[in-house]
Amino acid sequence: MGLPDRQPAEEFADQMAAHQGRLESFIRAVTGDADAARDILQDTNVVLLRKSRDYRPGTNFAAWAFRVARFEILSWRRRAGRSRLTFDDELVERMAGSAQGQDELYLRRVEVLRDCLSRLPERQREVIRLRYLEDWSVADLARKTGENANAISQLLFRARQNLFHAMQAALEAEEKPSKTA
Amino acid sequence: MNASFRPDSEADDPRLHWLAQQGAEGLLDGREARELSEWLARSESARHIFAGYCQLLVALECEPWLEEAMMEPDWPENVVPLPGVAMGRLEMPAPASSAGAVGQGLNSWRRMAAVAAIAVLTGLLIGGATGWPFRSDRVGSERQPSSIVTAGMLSAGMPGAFPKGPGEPGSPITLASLGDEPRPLLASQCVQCHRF
Repeated sequence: MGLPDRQPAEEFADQMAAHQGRLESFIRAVTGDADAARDILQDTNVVLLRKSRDYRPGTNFAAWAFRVARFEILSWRRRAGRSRLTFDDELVERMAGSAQGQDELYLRRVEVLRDCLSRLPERQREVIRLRYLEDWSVADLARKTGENANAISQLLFRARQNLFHAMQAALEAEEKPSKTA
Repeated sequence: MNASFRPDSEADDPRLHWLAQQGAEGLLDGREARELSEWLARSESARHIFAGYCQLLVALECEPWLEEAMMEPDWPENVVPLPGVAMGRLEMPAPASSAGAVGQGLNSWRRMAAVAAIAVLTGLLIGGATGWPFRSDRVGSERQPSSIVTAGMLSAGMPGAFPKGPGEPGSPITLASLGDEPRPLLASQCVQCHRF
């Protein structure tokens, strides 16, 4: 049995994998609902795969994927009960504009994240590792360290805030030479 | 996109950062969600900060190379404290074994890539010479590629398919293998008609 050219399939799979983080963070920012964002990402992936024959290598995968994601967000909002929605329609539109405007920053943020993590104090880095890599909840962390949950929450808050500011500073520092050039 | 934004007077408000983090984690109650919504509606800086935390948390949860980097025993080689932050180690017992951590390391988009590749190749096998990869216009065909793709994704635990299980630190994660999951599905749904 003859098979069609596999190259488009491979490129499509690469593009799918490469855009998962960008899509999930976009959906999360627009919906304000982390659990729903995972469901919507799944729906978006299914639609992308179903329509994969329409994809042409070299075309703008991101623009296409984000259009599908926005449609899936609207579809989810119509299905979800009003009490489930975190943001109203107007705010969803504003957040979509803001989050898509920041989309290109995702890869740059990821690039500087390792360095920013390495600069965190060990205690903060450790709590980030256990929370996100080992998937421990705040309650798990509190139980296993003997500290109270509020102290752990504060430690996580400071760690994430330090990471955010360090990443922001790194990105702005990257831009300065190009602005002066 | 310019990384820098014009922060307004509220951009450094710890309350905004707290709400943005909790919102990105999906941990806000109703009153806090309304408070964050009001902030986002009136302040571009707030929207920038919230979208930034969403990107940060998604990267921490899912980026595979980051997980690998943090698992390196001697990483980082040089710890440079950030200004104004006290140093100190979080005292806690080490995880029971490294197997769970390795398993978590696999819970990443590399798995997604593998699953997507399996799904697309499955589509290639099903579609055959008639089109790439999921033609739905074949006369007389009862196959439903999207359901196969979805089943493949779900069976492999693609990120986004299932939320991480709370209270399951270090739980082992199994990867889908072609023999265990897609092949019986193909055998029962496809081979009888297509005979490849």
